[in-house]
Amino acid sequence: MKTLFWGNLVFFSFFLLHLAVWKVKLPVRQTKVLLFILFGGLAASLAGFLLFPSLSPLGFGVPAGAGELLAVSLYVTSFILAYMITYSAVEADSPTLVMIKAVADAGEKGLRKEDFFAAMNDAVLVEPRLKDLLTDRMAVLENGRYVLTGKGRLFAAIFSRYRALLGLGKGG
Amino acid sequence: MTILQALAPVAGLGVNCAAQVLYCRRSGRLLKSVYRGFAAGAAACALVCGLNAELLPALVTYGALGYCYFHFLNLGETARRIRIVRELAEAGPAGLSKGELLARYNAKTMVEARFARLLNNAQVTERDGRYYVGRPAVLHMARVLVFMKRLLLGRSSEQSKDEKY
Repeated sequence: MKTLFWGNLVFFSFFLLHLAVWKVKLPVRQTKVLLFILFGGLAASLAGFLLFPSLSPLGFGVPAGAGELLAVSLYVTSFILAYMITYSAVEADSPTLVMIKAVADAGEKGLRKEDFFAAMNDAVLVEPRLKDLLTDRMAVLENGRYVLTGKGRLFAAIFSRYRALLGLGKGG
Repeated sequence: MTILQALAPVAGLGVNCAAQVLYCRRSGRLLKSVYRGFAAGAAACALVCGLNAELLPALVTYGALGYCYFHFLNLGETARRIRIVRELAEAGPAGLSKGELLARYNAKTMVEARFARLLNNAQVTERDGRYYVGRPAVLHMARVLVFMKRLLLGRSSEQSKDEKY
């Protein structure tokens, strides 16, 4: 129960800090700032556990010993990663979800396929993602051509190799 | 708590990945392999941790790691950014112009593939050339995400950037 108590307290405290920061000003590089707040919060909490070992709010003593500290670290890290991956879907519009919402918004009269394709074009679906690659420094624009950086090549290699391991095609 | 117990969720994730890869390679069925891998990993996590007070947090941690692994696989399957990066990687050091990229991967092919998926899964139905919502599961997910977008970003979509900021 100690892991649940401290894990939730640490994660949700810094999650609230992230919400507060986002309300004040939306960062340009949101993922980087989010990682800094959440992992910075975890590191500060672990330091706090070591510096104040006698703390015991609501009867839950702070995690002590390698096993407990590791368990809380893993608990918080797994929540951070799960939130980060969900946040990527918040940042960018998923085409499938935009499509289903457009159908739902049409209501009882339904949506014609032509209307649908008129709204879902390259400017809406592809170009914002190209812009993201430049913002995240995964690609650079050289003489009108998009070229991958080292970070982009690493990203491509991870997914290509894993998809090959699974015996699957390109996806997308 | 022992270090081995603390590492039970990581052991579970390892078993999850291995079982999922093996099943996917044998059957070619991605979604089913995800379910089977997750179940195998949960069993391994419980086995390593043992039946004690640490099992619940270990399983919660394992669940979150399993969720991440599912999304890693999903990114490879459906993410536009990953597909674009892979197209650029295949093009080599010369890269691609926007036109060349759009010839390889564009909104039309993307929407056709997703529309077919929605129709096959009965999330969308067709009557007299018009489309209606079928099973509402994906619609519920869309509404949750719109709620999160409004809460975090102050807008309901990328296309409505002027709502707040």
